[in-house]
Amino acid sequence: MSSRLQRALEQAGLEYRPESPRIGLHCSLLLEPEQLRPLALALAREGFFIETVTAVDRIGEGLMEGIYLFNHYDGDMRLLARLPVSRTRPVLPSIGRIFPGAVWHERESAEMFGITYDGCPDSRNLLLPEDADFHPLRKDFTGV
Amino acid sequence: MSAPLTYSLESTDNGNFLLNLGPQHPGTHGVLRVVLQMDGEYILRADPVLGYGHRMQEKIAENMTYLQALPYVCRMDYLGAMSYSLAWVLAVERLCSFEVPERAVHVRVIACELNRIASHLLWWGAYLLDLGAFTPFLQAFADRERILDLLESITGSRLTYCYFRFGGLGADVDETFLARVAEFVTGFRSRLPRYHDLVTGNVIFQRRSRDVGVILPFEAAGYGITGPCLRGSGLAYDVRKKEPYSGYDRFEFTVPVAQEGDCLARYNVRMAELEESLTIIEQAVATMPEGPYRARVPRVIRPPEGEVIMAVETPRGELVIHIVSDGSTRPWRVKFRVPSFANLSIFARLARGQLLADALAILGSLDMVIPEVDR
Amino acid sequence: MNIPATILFFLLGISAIVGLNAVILVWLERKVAGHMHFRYGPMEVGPHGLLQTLADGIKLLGKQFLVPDAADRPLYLLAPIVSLVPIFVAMVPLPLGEKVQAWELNIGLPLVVALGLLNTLGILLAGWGSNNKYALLGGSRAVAQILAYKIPLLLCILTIIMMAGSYSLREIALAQKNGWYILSQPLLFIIYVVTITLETNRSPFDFSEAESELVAGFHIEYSAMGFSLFFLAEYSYMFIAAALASILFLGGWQGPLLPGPVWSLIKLYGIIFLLMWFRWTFPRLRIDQMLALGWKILLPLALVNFLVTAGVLAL
Repeated sequence: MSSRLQRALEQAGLEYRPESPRIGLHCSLLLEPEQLRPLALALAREGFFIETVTAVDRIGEGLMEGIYLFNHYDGDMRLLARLPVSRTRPVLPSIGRIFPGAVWHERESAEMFGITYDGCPDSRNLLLPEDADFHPLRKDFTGV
Repeated sequence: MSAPLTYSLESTDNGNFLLNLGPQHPGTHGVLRVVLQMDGEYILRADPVLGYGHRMQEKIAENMTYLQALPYVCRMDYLGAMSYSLAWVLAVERLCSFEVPERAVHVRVIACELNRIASHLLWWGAYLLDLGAFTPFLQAFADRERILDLLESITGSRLTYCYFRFGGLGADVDETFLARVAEFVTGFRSRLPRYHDLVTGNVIFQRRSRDVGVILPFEAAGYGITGPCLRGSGLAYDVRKKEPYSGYDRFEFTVPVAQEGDCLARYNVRMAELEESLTIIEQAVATMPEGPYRARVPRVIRPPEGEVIMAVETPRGELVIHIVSDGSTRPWRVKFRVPSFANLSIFARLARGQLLADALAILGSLDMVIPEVDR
Repeated sequence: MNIPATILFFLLGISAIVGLNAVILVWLERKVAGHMHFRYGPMEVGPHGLLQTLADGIKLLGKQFLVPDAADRPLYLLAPIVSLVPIFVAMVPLPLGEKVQAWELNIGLPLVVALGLLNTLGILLAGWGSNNKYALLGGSRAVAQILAYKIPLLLCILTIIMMAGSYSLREIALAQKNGWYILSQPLLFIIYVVTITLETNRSPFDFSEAESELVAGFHIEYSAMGFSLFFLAEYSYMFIAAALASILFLGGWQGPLLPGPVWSLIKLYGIIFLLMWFRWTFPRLRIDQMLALGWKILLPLALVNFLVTAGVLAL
């Protein structure tokens, strides 16, 4: 079943390491920011769909971990890509031009964590008020 | 989506005008606002503006213990609350490796499928309301009411249930409930043809829905469409089949699929799903095991460090809960990947070039719950 | 009786009919809707909620009539009146019984049909005068649909006029002594019912209101009595359209045993019930589908029917 996943990863020049599906994942990758777009392109070519784009604030390590979650309509191919970047001025690559649905997820993640999605076609706030300049999901957020 | 829309009045110079659809509008099913750039009755561009019902559910969940967050989870999708509840308890059970007794698994499936029928019935009525027919809405409510009564008798609430617990259920069900469910299944099955008589064959309905708002399979992948909206486009992706959870692999059911991708296909898929849900409920009731309804789990949930992903098929599509645990009693990070959010994101693409009436039909056929989109 | 007294008498009579009819129809609509929805409809005020409309009317009278700042004030105020006033004139030549008729006019039928057009003018004025985009869309829809249904409607009426050999409503009804036109012209009756559904702006053709699309369409900005005048006009147009249908196709007041006016009312409210049945059963068409229906189906059918009837009559 995961041959598509394997093929997509090969195209992106990444190694396929199956994960135990016990935690609901079939593959998780730790990527450098420049590796993401080739991966997303390969996944789009293989028919994967975008599940979500979000982040985890690792304040202890001073990292902002970008999370990109993909899946395939054939099932059993959930793939999670992690992109840890600096927490102070986090910049992550946008996949909004590859997966149009990612734009909303990126807009949400951007306003919630203060991440800049490089190349995102739309950078307005999505859920927060349009003039909001605070980032509520950051762990050091103390209220407006 | 190209350059962001600007809401200045200058864009009205060339005969176009901006129409502010919502946030208070009968066609948007909640506080959704869509800024439409119109050329007469035609939509040149649609830009949904979200966030009117935003409550920061993810932050709330981070600041609560796992059990405290349970009732909050159901407040997102108030029409499919059971599935949300299930997703949350399953995610925590997966994180902590709790076992669930058989009886609880069956009751969970029954409750979720009843909730799915109720949700689809409400959608059925509301979609026809969007098309200008008022009667189906209240006709559907008669059967929905029966389901709400059933669920009320076991959960105590009618809409935002908090019935499941980590390791089982909040309370056991009795024979009366199972008998009433069986009675409902037979009754509803005999009433289903009436729904089709009233609407499905109606020529006006067919002409309003056919070839309107076609979602192509590759577009669906780009936008992450799931649920009946996806299955209307010919892709048989159903989490209950692809990654069976909560014992769904024990029950026999098919995943209805339609090929056309238009509003009518989505309608047909949902109507067929009603029958599939009935089949599942029947099997779950017939094979209901005896035994405990709740496993012994620690009073304070303190999961190990790590993360877990749990996907569940809600009435609207795939809900993914991503929990990152730091080993304390509160989750470090919770992400709700909600189906309505992804399904609504394709609306701007579908509405372009459509008549206003069709755009509202499309919006209705996507079946989104705005508080779920906004969270 | 001298002329002014007669006019006053007629005016009073017509006002009573308009008012009573609206009260009854609003109640009836809610009851019909209720029973189609497995519910009762109004039950609280009076027996079976009969006085509910009256209570609502008093409530509406007591409400503040708001004029939006940006509205075109004269047009905005004129619109409901333009909608309502023609009704009083249109009721004049309607015979509801052998002796129950305000004024026998030899051009009664064309007059009533022509006055029906003014309703659209009222809607357009309201749509433009409100200065609201939803209202404007509603108003423009009303204008777009008018030709699509008026021409088939006129063809229907011409066919009837040809068969009866008279423009007078009374004569037309009397011409059906030996057989109602619905029996000889069933197709024409269907076309006529479709066109009056369009004319009275009722679902499945309620484009200018289109609740789920345009919120309330042309009357979105109207409150209190402005709104109720539109309401009154809508139900009175229903009354007139149904009365015409009963006269043109069902022999008017003629029938066995019961007195004439009773027969008139039975037939008339039967047609109105049919319109209500449509409203609470069908989804709304799209505006372009309605235009296609009008131009591509109703018009050719009515035209062919007209020519065939003319041919048969010539033989």
